[in-house]
Amino acid sequence: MKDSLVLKNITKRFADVLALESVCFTLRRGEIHALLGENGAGKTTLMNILYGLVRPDSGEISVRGENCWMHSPLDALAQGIGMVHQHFMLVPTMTVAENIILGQEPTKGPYLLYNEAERLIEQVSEEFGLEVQPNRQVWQLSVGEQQRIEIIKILYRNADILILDEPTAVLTPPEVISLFKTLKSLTDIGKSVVFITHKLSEVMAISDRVTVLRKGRVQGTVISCESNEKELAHLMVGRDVVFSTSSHENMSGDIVASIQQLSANGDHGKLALADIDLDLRAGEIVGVAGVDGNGQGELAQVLAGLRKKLSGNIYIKEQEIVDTNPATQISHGVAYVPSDRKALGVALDLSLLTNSVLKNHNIEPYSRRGILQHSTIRKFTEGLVNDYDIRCPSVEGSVHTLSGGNLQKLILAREISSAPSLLIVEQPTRGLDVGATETIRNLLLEQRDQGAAILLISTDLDEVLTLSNRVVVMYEGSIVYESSSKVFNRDEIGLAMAGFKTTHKEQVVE
Amino acid sequence: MKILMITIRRIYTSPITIQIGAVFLAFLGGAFLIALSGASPIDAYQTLVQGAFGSKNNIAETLVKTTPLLLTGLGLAVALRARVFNIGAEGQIYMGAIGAAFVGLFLGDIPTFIGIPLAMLAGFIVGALWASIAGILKLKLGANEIIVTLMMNYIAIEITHYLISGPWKDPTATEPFTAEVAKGIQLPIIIPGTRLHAGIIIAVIATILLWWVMRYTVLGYQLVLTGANPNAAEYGGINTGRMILLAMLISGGFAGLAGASEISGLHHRLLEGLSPGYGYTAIAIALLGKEKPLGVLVAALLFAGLVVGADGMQRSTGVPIAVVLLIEGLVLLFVVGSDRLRLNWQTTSKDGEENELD
Repeated sequence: MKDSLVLKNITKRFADVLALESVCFTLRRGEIHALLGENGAGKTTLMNILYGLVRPDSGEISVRGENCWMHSPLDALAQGIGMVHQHFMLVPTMTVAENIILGQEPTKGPYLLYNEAERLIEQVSEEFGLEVQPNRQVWQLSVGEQQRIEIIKILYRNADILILDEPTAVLTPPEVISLFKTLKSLTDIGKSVVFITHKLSEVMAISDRVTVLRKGRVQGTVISCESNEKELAHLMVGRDVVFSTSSHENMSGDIVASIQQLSANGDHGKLALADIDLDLRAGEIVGVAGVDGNGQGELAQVLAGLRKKLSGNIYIKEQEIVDTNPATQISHGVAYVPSDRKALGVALDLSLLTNSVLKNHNIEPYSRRGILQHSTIRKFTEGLVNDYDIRCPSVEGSVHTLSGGNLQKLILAREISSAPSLLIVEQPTRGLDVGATETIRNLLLEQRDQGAAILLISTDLDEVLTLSNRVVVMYEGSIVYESSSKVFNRDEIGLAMAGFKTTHKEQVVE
Repeated sequence: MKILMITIRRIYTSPITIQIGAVFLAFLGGAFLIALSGASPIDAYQTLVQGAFGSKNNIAETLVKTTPLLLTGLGLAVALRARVFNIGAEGQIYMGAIGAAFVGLFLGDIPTFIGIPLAMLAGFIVGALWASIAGILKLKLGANEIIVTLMMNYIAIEITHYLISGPWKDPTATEPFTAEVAKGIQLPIIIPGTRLHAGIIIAVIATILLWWVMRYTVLGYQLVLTGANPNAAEYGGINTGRMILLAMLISGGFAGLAGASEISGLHHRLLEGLSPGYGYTAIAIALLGKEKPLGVLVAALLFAGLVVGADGMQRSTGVPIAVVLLIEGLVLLFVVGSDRLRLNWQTTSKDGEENELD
């Protein structure tokens, strides 16, 4: 096989940090090559160099045997390199066809040849077996369809090297399968794919070879089918990783929280939660699976008192809470780890000291008769920092000096320090590296074993399946699937996430 | 070596260094303008400092000016920390003055130990209530407090005009002002032979009180958190609406107190031009003072010294007073600009530190 792309000894330094050190990377024609690494390992920097967004300090790039430099994405496109970003670059109010031709419109003089454009798109779509309706508006499409548009956009520009940055992060399981099929068919006709990810299972499922990056250095390039997840994890993290898994044993106790017929509006004034019924028991983790934006966030917000309910009842420890607001929920022992840590979980400009007592600054012993007890607060914060291994320059320093994993540890530590009866965690490990993910998940399991009821909301289906004792699926504001069995049916859950009605809704086995 | 570099970075990016730098740059710009007008900048600044602090009387005058600027600036600093933009301190000063004048005009001969606290309290309450109108409109209707408070200034000043030329007018005078307020509400002179009255003591006590409140109380914590991230504050169980209203009440109250202190300590009657824009200058002072009570104290002294010293400078060097206004403007410009600069430095140093830790 011919090498379609070779990166040789790429080095890039940002200020005093070495982002990439002598990185070598070879992409063969017709292969899917996974680029695996934790956050901050240098994956994105490497691809940005390839795509002409960042200039390396030294090294060589050659495409199809010819040395070349990318000064901008235009150069990259001219060399046949196209990128699908994690966040799509589409104009929602324009049609599919308009989005695809944007920047490379077929014209005759001053006129846009719209019919010609549609013909070209249909040609591309037929050639690669990617179904597309050119006249639909992008905002009407599902996330998976939008991603397909991004891929067609690249193919329309005649790219034969495709870079996909964490493409599965936003997809449902059936959409992932369909994406993988598309990628396979593309490589069959000679296109090459770089697949950036930090998920080991995907590497095993899709890639021919895998290059592992850690701290800016290549740890090795291996043939995927000759390796295994354990070896890759070891290469990626530099040590063995052990995820405790949930036993799935039903050791749950009394009902801690009971939600009945709960409805609420979303931010846009439309119904976002419709008649939710859910019981949460002490000592169990209930996982809420679903594609982002199907009401999971609103459910968490209503329970945390941040969103008003339209109708329905919420009982915490058999006591009905009529007027929900954050203060009453906190006093009833509801703790909440929000998905948007930086916007909601902390005040970034303020110190660790200030942020660590966000929920309990107004109760003893952190304050007495309206006076803050600074020495108690300091002891408490230092305790959290030590117990949960939160790496920070100092407790007086502002929270934005913390890395993502340490910030999440701080928030989770704060929330569990009050020994909550109900702990709501939303996307607890999103964007975290393997090490931090391991810590956070183990802390959640520890809380469960100590008798907390945990509502785990995550778009990462693997996470939900690994940690939960019970799984529910939310789709368009309703619970469409509920399972209590010891073995989760991944296919059924996947279908439910995509909105397909499953024939039976399993009842909770008492 | 690295520790040294970090220490140096800490020093030159510390807020105090930046504020001093901003003031220094403003004076440098002023010096350039003075030189343009043909005078010697060194002479001009020398007479400026002389005029502000050169004699007992000059110091007293500077402190007389400091009093309303400090009181108003303190309240605005608290509001700014909660990210409430009260541009209406000017009007709140007038309303506070009306409150104090009412006590001094209509409650007869009251003893000092009741009269002074009563007048100050009246000033505080009337100023706070006046400001609360904007606060309530913001909470209930989402009205922008900047516009509302600004507009309310004109209403407050016109109410004052109406009172001093109509119902409260001193019948024995031709000019529009009220009769002298009762002796019982007049603040004593604390340096004989000068105009310096006990208002400055009230202002200094207020500084210490607010410093303590912001640093050591749950109220201060909640105000700061509301300003730093209202969503996080709400999530932490803080009633941010209540905090916004409180910030409005506190800033209006202290502006009102400034008005009351001007009536009781300086003018002894309600009159036109009671505040030559103290309410606006105080915004600059609150910003220069980094929204911290002790910073506001220093900034208020600086601005008062500039205004008082400018007279002396104009007399002996012919440099127009307008130069001082320009310097005030430059200080504000540099302070606001330096915030941006510091933010940039913070992000670069933040990235560095983050990576060091990872």
